[in-house]
Amino acid sequence: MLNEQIKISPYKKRLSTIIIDKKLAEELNISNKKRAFVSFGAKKAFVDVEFPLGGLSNEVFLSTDILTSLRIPEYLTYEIRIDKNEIKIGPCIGILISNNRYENIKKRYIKSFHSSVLDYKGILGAIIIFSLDRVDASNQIIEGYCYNPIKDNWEAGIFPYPLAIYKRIGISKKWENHFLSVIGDGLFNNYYPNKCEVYSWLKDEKIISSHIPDSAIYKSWNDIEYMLTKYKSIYVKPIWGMKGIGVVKISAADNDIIFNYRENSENKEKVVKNLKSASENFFAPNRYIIQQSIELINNKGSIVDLRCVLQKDGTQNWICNAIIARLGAHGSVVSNVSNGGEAKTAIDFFREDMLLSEKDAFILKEKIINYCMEICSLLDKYGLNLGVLGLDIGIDKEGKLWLIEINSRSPNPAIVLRANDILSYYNILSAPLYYGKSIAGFKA
Amino acid sequence: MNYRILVNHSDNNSKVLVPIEFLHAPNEINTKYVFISFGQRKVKAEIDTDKCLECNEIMVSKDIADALYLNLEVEYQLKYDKNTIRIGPVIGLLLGLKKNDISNNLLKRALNYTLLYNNINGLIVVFSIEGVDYENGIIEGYFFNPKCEKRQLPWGKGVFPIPNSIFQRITLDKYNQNKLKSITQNCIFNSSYFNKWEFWIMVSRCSSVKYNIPYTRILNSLDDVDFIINKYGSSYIKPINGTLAQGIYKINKHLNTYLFKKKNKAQKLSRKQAKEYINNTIKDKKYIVQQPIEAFTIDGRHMDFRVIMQKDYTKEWMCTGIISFTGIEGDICSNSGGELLFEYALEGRLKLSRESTFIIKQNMIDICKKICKILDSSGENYGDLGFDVVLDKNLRVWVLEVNKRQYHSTPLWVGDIQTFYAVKTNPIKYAAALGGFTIY
Repeated sequence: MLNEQIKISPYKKRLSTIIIDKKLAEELNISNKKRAFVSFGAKKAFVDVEFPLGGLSNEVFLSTDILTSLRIPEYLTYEIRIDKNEIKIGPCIGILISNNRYENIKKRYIKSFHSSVLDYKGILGAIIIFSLDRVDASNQIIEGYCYNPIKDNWEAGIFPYPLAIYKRIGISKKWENHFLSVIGDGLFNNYYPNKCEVYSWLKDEKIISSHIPDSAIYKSWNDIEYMLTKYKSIYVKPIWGMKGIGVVKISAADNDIIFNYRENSENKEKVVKNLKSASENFFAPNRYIIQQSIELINNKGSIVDLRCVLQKDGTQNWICNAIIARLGAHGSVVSNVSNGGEAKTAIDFFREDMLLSEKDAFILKEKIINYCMEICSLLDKYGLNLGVLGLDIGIDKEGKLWLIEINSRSPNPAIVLRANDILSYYNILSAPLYYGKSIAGFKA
Repeated sequence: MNYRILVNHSDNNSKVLVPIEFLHAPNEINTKYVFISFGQRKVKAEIDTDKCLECNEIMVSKDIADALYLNLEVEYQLKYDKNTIRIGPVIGLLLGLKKNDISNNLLKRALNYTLLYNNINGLIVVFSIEGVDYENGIIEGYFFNPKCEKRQLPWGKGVFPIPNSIFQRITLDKYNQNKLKSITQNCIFNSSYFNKWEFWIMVSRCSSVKYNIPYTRILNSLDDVDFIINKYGSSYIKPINGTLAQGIYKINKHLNTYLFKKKNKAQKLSRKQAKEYINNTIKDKKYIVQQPIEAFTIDGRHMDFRVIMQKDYTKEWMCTGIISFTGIEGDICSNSGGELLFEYALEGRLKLSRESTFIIKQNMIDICKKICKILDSSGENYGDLGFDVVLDKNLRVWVLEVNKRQYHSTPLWVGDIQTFYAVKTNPIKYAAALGGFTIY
C-alpha cells in the first residue's frame, strides 16, 4: 500500500469522532473498526470511527474537540498510517535550535531553514522549529514555528511534542531524559562524542584501529615529549574544538622543536627552546588531545582532507550524500575552509589534482564510502542515535585512509556550497527531515 | 573481513575447521554440526577449531569442497546464521541464452560490473541460460578472477553452484524464469517482463500516481482511437511490447479525416481507410492507444528525461541519475538529438531557478519511486529500471514507459562517466545485499 496523503478538516456535529471515507478506510484496511485512537506527535486521543460513502477520499474529518486537544494545524497535508488501534496523523518533526532564545527563532533561524523545506512535498506533516525555553513540560506541549507550505512561511503556534527531534544544540541530562520518557528514543543527534571518546572507542576495532592516528590526552608536557619522540611530528588539538581553531602542529627537526599554528588567518611558526614552558603556555591539561601526525597527500603545499557527509535517509540507512575535498590554506596546519582554505568535490579533486583516471576516481570514492560506512555502523552499535555525521577522512602518501575527525555537532553543510554542488546541498538539508519522519513513525 | 578457504585433501569426513575466534561473537557457535552453504548448495559438516589457522582462514575437507563446488581462487565473506556458515557471495550475471553468447567482447564489457569487487569479494559469475544444470544445481560460466595476470581477460571458465542472487539482463522464457525464481527464492532481478498494457493495469489502480501516467486503452478498433481523441484531442498508438520509438503513431482527427503521423511521415485517411489501417496494424501485433502528453518544448523541440532508478546495498529504490533528451523539431518522439544532464536542462534550457530545479527533480524521483514500489508489490523482483519521463507545460511529471532492460550507457551520452560506473555497480551491490552479504 502506498502512503496516503490527507487533509484534515474540523467536524462540529459530534465529539471524539474521526470520519474517514469508506474507500480510504478500505485501502487502510480499517473499515471494520468502531473505536480507535488518533495520534499526532506525542498526543493521543480515543475516537469513535465512521466510514461514510462518497466523500473525498483524501479528506479526513476530526471532531473539533480532538483537533484542539491534539493541536493539529489545519493548513498542512498529512500522511496517515495505521498501527493496530492507532491512527497516526503526521509526521510531526521538531528542530530544537536553541536553549533560551525563542525570540531569535523568528529573527535569525527561520530564514536559514528555507532551503530545508524545499522538499516539503516528500516530507509532509508538521515541521516545527522550537527552543527549550518555550517547552511546557507539565502539559507536554511546545511553542514554536511550523512551516506552512501554502503561504511558504513559518507560523507561530502551540504543538504537541514531536516524535522526532533534530537536536542542534547540547541539552541537559534532565531534558534528555524527559524527552526520552515522553517520546522515546526520538532525539537525534543525541550525542556528540569528543575527540578522546572517538579514539578510545575505535582503537580496539579490528578493521578501523589501524586507520586512526595514535592519540593521547594531554596531561603534562611529558606526554608531548613522548609522542614527539615516537612520531617526530604531532598535532595537539582542543578536545572539543571545531573549525580547526586552536590546532598546533609540533615537529622535531634536528635539535629544534617547531610549533606551527594559525592565528588571525595567518600561518605562525615558532621555534621552541623549552618544550615544557611552551606546552604549558599553549595547552591546558585534559583539554587537549595529542595526535600522531599523518603525512597526508598535499596539494601545492596545502594539506587536503575529505569531508564526507553521511546521513540517514527515510529508510534509516546511512547514505553518503557528498564528499568534499578541503584544501587548506597554503602552508596551513589545518584544512578547514573557514580557516582560509578552498573546497571542491572529491571526484574533481581526484581527477584534477591527483590526476586519477575516471575509473580509479570512482573506485577510490567507493573505498572511502566503504570506510565511512564501517564507522557509521560502529557508532550505531555503540548506541548513539545519529542521523547526520561529518567524517573527516585523510589519505596518506601511500594511499591509506585515516579517520581524522568525527563531527556530529551540526556538521556544516555549507561546505558543499563551496564545491559548487547546490543540488546536493539541498539534499543534505532535507535529509535530516526524512530521517526524522521515519523515526516519527512514518518510515518510507 | 574476507576469508581464505583451505582444503584438506586427505580428509573426506565432512569436516570444517575454523579459528577459535570464529566461534565467538557475533556467531556464538556451540553446536557440533553446522551446515555450510555456497551459492545454492548446502552440506552438513562437523565443526571444530584449529589453532594453526589464521583468523581469516577456514579449512574444509575435500568431500565438502567438492560437494559445494568451492572455488579456491578468490576470497569470501563468511556469514553465520540459523546454524549455517554461508560462504559467498555468489552473484550471477545472466547475460546470454546460449553458451556462445558469452563472447570475449561481452566479458570485456562486463568488467564494469566488477569495479567494486574489492568491497564485495566472492564470486561474480557471467553465465548463459544454456549453462544452467538444474538437476545438479550448478552453472557453467566465467568467474571474475582478481588475481588474474594483467593483460589477460580476468574471467576464468568453470563450474559453479547456482548463485545466491542473479542479475538478469536477457528476456527469459516462463519455464526458466520460474525455475530460477524458485531456486533463488526470488533473488533474481529484473525477474519479470511487463508490457505497456500490464504496466497501465498495475499503476493506474493507485490513486497517488494514476494522474502521472497517460490514460491507456488496448487498441481493438478505431473506436478506441476515437474515444481517446474525443477525450484528449489527439492520440498515440504504440506496440504493446515495443521499445524506444519503434512503431509509434500519432493520430489526429479533423472532421472525418484522420491524420496518421509516424516520425516525419504523415498520411491523411478517411474513416473507412483509417479503420482498415488500424485493423491491419493490429492483425499480428498488439497495440495500445494512449492519451497524448504535450511535453514542454523549447524552440519547438521537446524535452524528455531518462530517470535511472536502481536498488543498491540498502535494497531500497533510489535515483542514480537523470539524463534529458531534446528531440528534433517536429519529430513526434525524442529518441534522437541532444542529451544533457538534468540540471543543465532545467536551469540552462528551461531557465528555471536552482530551487525549482531541485523541487522538480525531487518530484520526478518521488513519482518514479512510487511506481517502482507498485511494481515491487506484484511480488516480482526488480532492481534496475529506466523511466521515460516528460514534463508537460505545467511542469507536471508524466511517466510514459518503464524499461526493464535499460541501456546502462545513457549517462555516457552526456559524458557522465561517474554515473555510468554507478549504474553498472549498483545492481552488484543490490545482488550482494539480496544474497545476505555486505557491501559496506
